[in-house]
Amino acid sequence: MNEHSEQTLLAMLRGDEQRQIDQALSQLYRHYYEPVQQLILKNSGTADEADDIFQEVLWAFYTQLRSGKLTLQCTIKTYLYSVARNMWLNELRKRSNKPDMVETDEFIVLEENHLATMMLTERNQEMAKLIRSLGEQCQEILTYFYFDRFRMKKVAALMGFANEQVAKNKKSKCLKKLKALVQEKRHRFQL
Amino acid sequence: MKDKEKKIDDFLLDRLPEAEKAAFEAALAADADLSAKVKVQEEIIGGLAVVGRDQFKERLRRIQAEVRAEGDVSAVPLKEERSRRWMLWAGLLALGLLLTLLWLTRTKTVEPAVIYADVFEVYDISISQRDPSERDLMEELDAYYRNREYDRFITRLDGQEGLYPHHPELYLSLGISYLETNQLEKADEVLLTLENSEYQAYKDHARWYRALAALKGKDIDKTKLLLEDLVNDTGADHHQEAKRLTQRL
Repeated sequence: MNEHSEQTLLAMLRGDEQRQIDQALSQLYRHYYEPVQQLILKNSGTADEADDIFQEVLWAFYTQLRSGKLTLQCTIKTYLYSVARNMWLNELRKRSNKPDMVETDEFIVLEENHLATMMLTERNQEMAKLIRSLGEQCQEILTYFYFDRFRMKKVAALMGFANEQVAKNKKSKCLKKLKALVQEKRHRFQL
Repeated sequence: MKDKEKKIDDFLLDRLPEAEKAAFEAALAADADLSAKVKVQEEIIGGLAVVGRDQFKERLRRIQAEVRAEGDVSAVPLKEERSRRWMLWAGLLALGLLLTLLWLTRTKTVEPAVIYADVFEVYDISISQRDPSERDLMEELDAYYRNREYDRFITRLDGQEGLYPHHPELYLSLGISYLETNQLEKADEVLLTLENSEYQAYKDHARWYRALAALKGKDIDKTKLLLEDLVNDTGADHHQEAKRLTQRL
């Protein structure tokens, strides 16, 4: 498999080609999983927890890259390791007041509110339940558009629609349907 | 309507140019209806973050599995593999427990000697003469039986039992003597003769000790079969013992 430079990796992760996104994620796994795993294992964690943390880190990285909110001031490895370290430190704090952290690699200090933007709330979970009650097609369209942030043209191609306008109409109908559901549950969300 | 929806999308997905963004924010502050719509759509995007995250993690698991299959990362196995290993160990443990349980059950059923020792009781019987000419013999046999000198009892009576068909107690005590000296086929034979005889009062006793002979011979099916009549007949002698023994088996 071809190894890409960091800049290429970032471009692939920001792009609209799912195959390229998966290739980039694969490369991240091959190169950066092990340092994160070592960090977790040497700090009272298990291999399962290392898997979970690395998935959370990649999700946060992917989401922030695609939202355009992330400007890297360090290497991808340092960034991923630093986010993982922060997440794991938070986890250790839940278990102990003053956790001792064995450092296994170079890291940068992240801003306190860095991870807060990625925290999913109870309210998000409630809304997710409503979204899951929609049909599979609606879920896919809305996820491609709002989560992956693909343009409508790309969404049409991924969904196999005739053109962008069909995708827009479908997305609009799904959103309308979802809003009606939200209206029904309005009291729960206190909107 | 769709333009407004697109505008809200662009605003929330941070796709508006700075000037348009500022204008939209001003409109938001002035328009409560627009503000409510934006809030709902914002909530929806928050919910889609959860749905998207779950789908994304599923993709990551697949990618991780592929990377592992290529052997490109550390030797620590995948979560799924660890789970499979754990399941294998759990399976082996369960199998071990099952085998232990089976062994214990087997112990319970194929160690009939233990059960036999629990349930066997010598039937208290007096062997008395029917005819003055039998007195010495019967007294001698009675003494042997009471003293549990079964070998001497059997030897003393050897070849003569057929001569005393009118002595049901002799047949019963002989059957029990055979039983206690592990001559199980002979025990069954003598007790069967008694069971089929005219002495109805001894029928249930004969059946019970035949069942014990079968038990001692580790023939559980035969034991159960012989006990059946005693269990079904609430008025039968040994009814309760037969019931308890059947339950144990």
